[in-house]
Amino acid sequence: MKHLCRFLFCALAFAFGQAPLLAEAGVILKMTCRAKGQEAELCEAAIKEWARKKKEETGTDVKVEIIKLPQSSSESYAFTQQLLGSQAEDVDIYQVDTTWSVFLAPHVVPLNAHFSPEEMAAHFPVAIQSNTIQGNLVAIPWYADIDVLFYRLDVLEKRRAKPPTTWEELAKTAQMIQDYERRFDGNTRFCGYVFRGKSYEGLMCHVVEWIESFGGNVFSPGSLPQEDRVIEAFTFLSELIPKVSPPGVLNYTEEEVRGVFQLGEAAFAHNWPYMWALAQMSGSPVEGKVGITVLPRGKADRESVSVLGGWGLCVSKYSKHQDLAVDLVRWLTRHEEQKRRAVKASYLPTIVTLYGDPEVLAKNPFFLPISKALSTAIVRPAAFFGRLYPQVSAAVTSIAQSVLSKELTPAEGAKQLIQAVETFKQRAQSSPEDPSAAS
Amino acid sequence: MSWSREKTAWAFVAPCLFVLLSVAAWPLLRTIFLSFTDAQLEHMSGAKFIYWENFKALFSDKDWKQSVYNTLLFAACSVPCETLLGLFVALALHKPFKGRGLLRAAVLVPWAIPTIVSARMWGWMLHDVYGILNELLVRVGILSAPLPWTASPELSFWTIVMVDVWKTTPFMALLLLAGLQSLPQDCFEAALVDGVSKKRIFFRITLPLLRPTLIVTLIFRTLEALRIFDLVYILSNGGPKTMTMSVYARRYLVDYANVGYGSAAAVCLSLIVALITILYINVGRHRILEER
Amino acid sequence: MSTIALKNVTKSFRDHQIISGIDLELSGNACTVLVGPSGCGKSTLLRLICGLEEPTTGEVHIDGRCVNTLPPVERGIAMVFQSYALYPHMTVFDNMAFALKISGCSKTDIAQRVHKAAKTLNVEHLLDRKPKELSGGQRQRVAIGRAIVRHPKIFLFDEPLSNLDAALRVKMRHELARLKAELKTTMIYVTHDQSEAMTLADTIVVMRDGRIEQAGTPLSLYHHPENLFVAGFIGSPTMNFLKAIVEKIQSQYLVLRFDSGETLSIPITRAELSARKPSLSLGETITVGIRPEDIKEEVSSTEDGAIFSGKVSLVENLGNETHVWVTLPGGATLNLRQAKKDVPHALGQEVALLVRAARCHIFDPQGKAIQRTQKEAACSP
Repeated sequence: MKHLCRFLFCALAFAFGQAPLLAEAGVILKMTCRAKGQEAELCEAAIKEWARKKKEETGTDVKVEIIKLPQSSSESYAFTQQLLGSQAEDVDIYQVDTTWSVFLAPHVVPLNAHFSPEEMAAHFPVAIQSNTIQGNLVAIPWYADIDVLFYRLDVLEKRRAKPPTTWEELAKTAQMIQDYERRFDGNTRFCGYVFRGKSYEGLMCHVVEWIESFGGNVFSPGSLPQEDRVIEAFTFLSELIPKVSPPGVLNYTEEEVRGVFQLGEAAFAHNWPYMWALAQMSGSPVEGKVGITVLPRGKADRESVSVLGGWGLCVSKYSKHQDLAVDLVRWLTRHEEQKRRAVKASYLPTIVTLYGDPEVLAKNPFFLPISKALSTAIVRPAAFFGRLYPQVSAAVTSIAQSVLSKELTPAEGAKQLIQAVETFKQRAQSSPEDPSAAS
Repeated sequence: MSWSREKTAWAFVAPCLFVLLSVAAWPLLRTIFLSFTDAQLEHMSGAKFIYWENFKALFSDKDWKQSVYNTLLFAACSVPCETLLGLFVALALHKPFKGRGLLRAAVLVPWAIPTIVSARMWGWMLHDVYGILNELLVRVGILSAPLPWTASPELSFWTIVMVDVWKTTPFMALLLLAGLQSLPQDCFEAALVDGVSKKRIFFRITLPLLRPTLIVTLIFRTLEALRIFDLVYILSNGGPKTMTMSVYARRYLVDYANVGYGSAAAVCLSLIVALITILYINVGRHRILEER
Repeated sequence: MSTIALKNVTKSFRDHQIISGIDLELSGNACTVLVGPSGCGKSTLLRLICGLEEPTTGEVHIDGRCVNTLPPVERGIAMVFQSYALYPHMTVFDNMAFALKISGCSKTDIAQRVHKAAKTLNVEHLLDRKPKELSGGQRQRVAIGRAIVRHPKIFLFDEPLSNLDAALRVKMRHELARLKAELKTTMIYVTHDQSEAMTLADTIVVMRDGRIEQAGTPLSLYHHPENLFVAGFIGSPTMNFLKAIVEKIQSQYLVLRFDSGETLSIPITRAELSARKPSLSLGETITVGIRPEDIKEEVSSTEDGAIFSGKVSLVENLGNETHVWVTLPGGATLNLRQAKKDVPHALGQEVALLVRAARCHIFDPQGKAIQRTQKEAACSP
């Protein structure tokens, strides 16, 4: 028995010792990928296909390891910054947010050379533009994200309410429904309107949407802020808690919003479209009861404003397998793959023609109205603020939270917001080291 | 010790010292160095000396002052709670009873779970809509409506204190239990024979004899409490009301990639912790010397 | 002066019986010493009397009152522990004053009592020190002082001298004897050292395996042990035991034959013989006990007794006396005590020893003594 154990131990040690040698026989690519919802599974499935095809066509054994990114985009940003900033060769492909382009520019392979002009034109222009820095395509768009308004078909029908078109209508309808549900139906947990209120990038998107949809004009570089419009927007915000939204909303990210809505405890949810597929899955408490519409406007005569989010893929300049990596990136972002992701998990494609594809629309009827919003979506001023952008985001969300929790009056909040953004704008412009220049 | 024995001793200690120096001393020195520069994460090689600028900016930042206040308040609230509760638990576990071994192991579970995991767990339990804590309290009638434990600026601080007390009481209990069990048992019997009541025994005999252990435990725990990071990071809503010094330093170091400024915050954090530790030890030493 | 009575007391710890059915009565201002080998239950008995343990069955009475459920302080008891049990964080003064402070004595009263006790025990110059600054003997005295100041009805001592070195032990023994005379309170003293028992006790209680073997005055235990165990326990060096067979039972004598062939006629009356039930029969093996000081070197017997010849196997010369071990043919050894003036022996030397019948103790096959009145007390050489 003792000898058997010894033999086993030696055999195992030998086998493990050989592992690095075995690994060197093939190529290993490493890729970061978000794991929110079904993203990771979708990614892995696509990668498997690609690896199989590669083996068939060229005989090279390629293994792709996925590094799962944290749920919060701010966290993912920090992670990506550290790796690229230290010029690590470990990771070849990064999944990147549209707001990171300025930082990414000096560290990635420009993808213009690897995509034909027709391929690039197939995407939404704003998607390509937000990923282009000084003429270099920093990352190729993978999917778009745009905030939409989810609502409960059955609950609205019960109360004979229509999907709101302005924020004021939303507040009124949501409050009415919340009152009814809590008082007359005895459901003390029901909420009118839930959104991402934690102090992070998700709230920043909301704030830009709210402010700009009221006409605040705060965030575009070179624009003149309209203080009274901002006060209007903040007045709407300050009256949300607790009659329309639960106080806990100040700690919600995407998943918490989805949790509340999918459990059936909210009438309206303000979130990314990925929630659709999950909420409509069999077994979900709200299956078949979900409606989507564009975000409400500030006033009846204004336009609905959505912030364009979205993620793309880039290839690290320090990668040892750039050609293979670019090939994989091309595979993952092509027409068929974007369609598959749309049908399977309702990820918004960036390729325009897919919005007319009958299969896609059958699964996601709300894509049609959304596609118009996509082409008119606004971009966050990340490129303009460059390195300062995280600080701008932190300051703005902090003020928004104070207004939401009634610590600041709308007037005070508006003043502080405009002041803060203006100060940052000045710093960004006068910074000796131009943040948008490649170093 | 003869010279050759000393040499051998150094030879044995040297590898450990080397590891310690490289893992702890090098980053510490580098952080201090960086705090005097304007280093940025994506551009570390281009860092320039700006001397005291970072520190000046730090001291005039109201968010930093709020963080320092939050951290000190947090330590001042959670450490006494943990110590008292820990003492209570230790006294309960001191007397042998059936199932004591099992209970001792069970009591350790909160401490054993990694903070990240238990913070996430508490985050879900404390959720205002689908959290079980609110559900239970509303059902039982203690609350009329669910509370936003982690979201409300007023409540979130105390929620974090509560979770920290839950997590750390077992640690304190175990340290104090060890102290209790090392006390000479015969003078407790003598006290019984002398007719001293149980309450008196605790205050006049147990506590004074336990003082050295208490002081060490308090120092240990205060140091940890001043460095608190994971609980705050996971549970809080990111606002300035609950930000502690470590969270502040990380925000600047990582989120804003401002390595110079973040290092300055980290250096200040270390200095504050060191100062409080020295104070504690001095007070403690006087007390312990008094005994002698 | 208190009366302590134990009625059918047993004590078990988790199915392990430490004390089995003890009945004992101690009265008057006596010093009772509980003595016995380790594990005999004497400390447990003391703790039962003190109130630190409760008896599993039976009752403890103090001054006629059942005190089973009374805490120690209400029994009027003070105890001196084997490890002294001083409060390490208090000064000697505070140690001695603590109990008085708890019971609410006035400051002047406390100071007076403490100083008096300290003077009695010679620790007045140590009142400001902490226990860890004191030597073993000093700590012992402080522990005693702590007990004294309370003016208790009963003093309990749990092997107080066992942690001290030999010379200090003798000195403290004398101090305790002096204290005993001074205080005139009931004392119960536990020790495993039989010489302490012999010197301090008014009554000795010998215990073994949770039972009382014999209780009585020191000399009665010495001269009239009731069984083999007590005979072998009391007295140092221990009594010699030889096995013998009953050869003849006559009206005034019992004739015994030893393994080595010698015979011994022991004077005993019929009544004393028949006191043992069932009566002795021929051929039974009994044990004969003789103390070392009762063996003389003698070639021929002019008195009633038996002569044993053997070779000297071990000589221990203590300076004031010598202990000699003689091995008899058959393997048994006899230990005799020689006075300083006697001629010393060499190893292997042949000697003849006289064992006088009048000084012998006889024990039946079960180890119980067959008491005789014709036994002679060993006062004459």
